[in-house]
Amino acid sequence: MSTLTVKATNSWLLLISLTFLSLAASEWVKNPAVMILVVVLAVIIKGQSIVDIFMGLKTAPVVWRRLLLSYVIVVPAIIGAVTVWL
Amino acid sequence: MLNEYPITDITPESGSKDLPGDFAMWLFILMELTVFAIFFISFATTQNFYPDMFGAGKASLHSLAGLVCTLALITSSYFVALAGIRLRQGNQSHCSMFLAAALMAATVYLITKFWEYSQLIEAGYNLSTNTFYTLYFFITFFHLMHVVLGMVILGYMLRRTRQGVYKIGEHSGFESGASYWHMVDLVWIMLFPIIYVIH
Repeated sequence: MSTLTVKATNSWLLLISLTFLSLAASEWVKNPAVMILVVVLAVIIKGQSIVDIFMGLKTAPVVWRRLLLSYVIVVPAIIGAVTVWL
Repeated sequence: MLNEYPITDITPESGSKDLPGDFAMWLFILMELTVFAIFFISFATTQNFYPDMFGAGKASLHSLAGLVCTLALITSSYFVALAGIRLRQGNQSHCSMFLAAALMAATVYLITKFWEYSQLIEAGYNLSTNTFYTLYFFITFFHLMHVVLGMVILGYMLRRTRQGVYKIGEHSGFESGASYWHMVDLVWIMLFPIIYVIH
């Protein structure tokens, strides 16, 4: 199995695991702010994995990678902040 | 001494290769992501104005259907990534196989989503029921349209791969299509928690 295949497979397993972690947090974490924090962090990590590994931007021009990574950090963070504080 | 370390040996912070696929596709992806970001933030903001309505609306959704859709899209995106790796290695038959698998996983998403819509409509919910269902149907159906377009693109990529059109080093079109499909997956992994998980 090539290195790229191993990376893609690890990324896929991470995405699946974080999906179940988010669902578990929504069921079991009683504090809404903590639950939202866990879910938002999971989305950010998932987004970073898709951008870097699936989209292949880890080896792309830095400006494009930063643009996409900013998106996967800023948008979930705004949604989390709006949900908790507004 | 100054020439001891040539400037070309300095590696950039994060690689130096070209953008995968066409530049125009990436501009399109950025525009699409911006539109979805506006929808998501609007949904989260409106939710705070009508917490009871949104709470009841989310309780009527099928979280298992949301989970199946998520797993299907993540897996489909994974297969497309594997197809791209095989294509770069010159293995077109494996590339075709993974593209076909990606299309099958996407079909699971479509079937699940239409099943969920039918369940909600049978229960009497539709676009005009209240603000929650207006946003729910609008955002999820808008995303579904992107999935359908993505499937058409994947189907075209599969046909071109079987025809042997993509050669080693000449697969910019393939990368553009794959990037679009990953964008569809990226949007869903944000949509899923906003609509199904956070309550």
